[in-house]
Amino acid sequence: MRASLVSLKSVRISVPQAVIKPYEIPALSSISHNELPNNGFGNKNYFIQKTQYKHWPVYLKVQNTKLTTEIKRIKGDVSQFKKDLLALNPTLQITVNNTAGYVNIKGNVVDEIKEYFDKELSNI
Amino acid sequence: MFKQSIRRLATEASTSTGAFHIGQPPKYTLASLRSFPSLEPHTFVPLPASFLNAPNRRDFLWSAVVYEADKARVGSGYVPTKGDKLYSNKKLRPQKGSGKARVGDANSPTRDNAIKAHGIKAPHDWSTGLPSKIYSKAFQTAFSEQYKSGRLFVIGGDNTSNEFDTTQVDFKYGYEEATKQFVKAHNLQKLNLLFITDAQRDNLINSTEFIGKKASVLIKEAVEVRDLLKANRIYIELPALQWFISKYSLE
Repeated sequence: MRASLVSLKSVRISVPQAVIKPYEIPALSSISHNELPNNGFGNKNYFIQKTQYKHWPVYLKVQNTKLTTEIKRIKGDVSQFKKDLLALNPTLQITVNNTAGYVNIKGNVVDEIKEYFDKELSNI
Repeated sequence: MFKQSIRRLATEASTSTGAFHIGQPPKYTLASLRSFPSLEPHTFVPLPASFLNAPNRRDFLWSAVVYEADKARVGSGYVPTKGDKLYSNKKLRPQKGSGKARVGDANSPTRDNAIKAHGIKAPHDWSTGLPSKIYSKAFQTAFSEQYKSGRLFVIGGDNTSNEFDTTQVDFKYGYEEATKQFVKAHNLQKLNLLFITDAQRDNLINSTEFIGKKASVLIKEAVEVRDLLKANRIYIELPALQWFISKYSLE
């Protein structure tokens, strides 16, 4: 008898679920006070995290004819980041979303912002 | 003359480079490890700040709670339609000769009966989707909120203060009295308690049974975001918390 594809389709092989390894807690002695809260972070300073593939989180947002440059993943003092950007280029029109840590700039300035980041934040 | 200088804070994080004021966000928070049921702290453990010190984002919590509530819906709504054949298939009156309008059988939705033209049918899936990153963020936010308001108690470690204490969320015996004394000793009357365990704890389940809805005992896999938000006190075993951290720390 020939094997039929129809019967093979109905075969369900149970795949074992991936085991989640519990988080490994580092030794208490390996932690410095700078890595704990109240280290002054968020007080006129901020951090911009690169993406998983080491790109800057700077995107062009297209809403019909409206072009906006969006910078994401900003932790800490977002308003200070706005001031720093304005110091580099006073012509930028910037709006800030403090809750989400987003900064929106009018127009397409993606390359300009990435250039600033590459120049000034090469060590992140 | 005195040499004057401004002393800077020892706890200052400033690695600002050039035009941008970059600081390093905190990596860890310290959680005290307690024994159960005395809740006496014995030591600290560093746990990721993203999990216990995340900023409060109510939008993540809202999305997660809606997602879970949708998932929990049974979808048993059932409206009879023509196909359900509530009435006979018999034609109500002859096609011609009555002087009235043409009619078919009594199963028509145009007639004054319970039948609808398009009704919802019983097994109905109301569940909606949510990106796993958002759901993870919701867990982080919920744990952080409870931790920051001092309602999260991590049970674990190696030490116990006395012979009745354990490093698991479990009582020595499964009698009601254990829970009664626990509630009285820690002033937990009228509060919603949530016990999150790594494995099934029979004594705890039996002992807390009489309180009803005021206490819930959940194994880590069964915990939802809204369980965390509803609770006034959370008692979680360290291995369970470690499991949560590795499962829900997608960036």
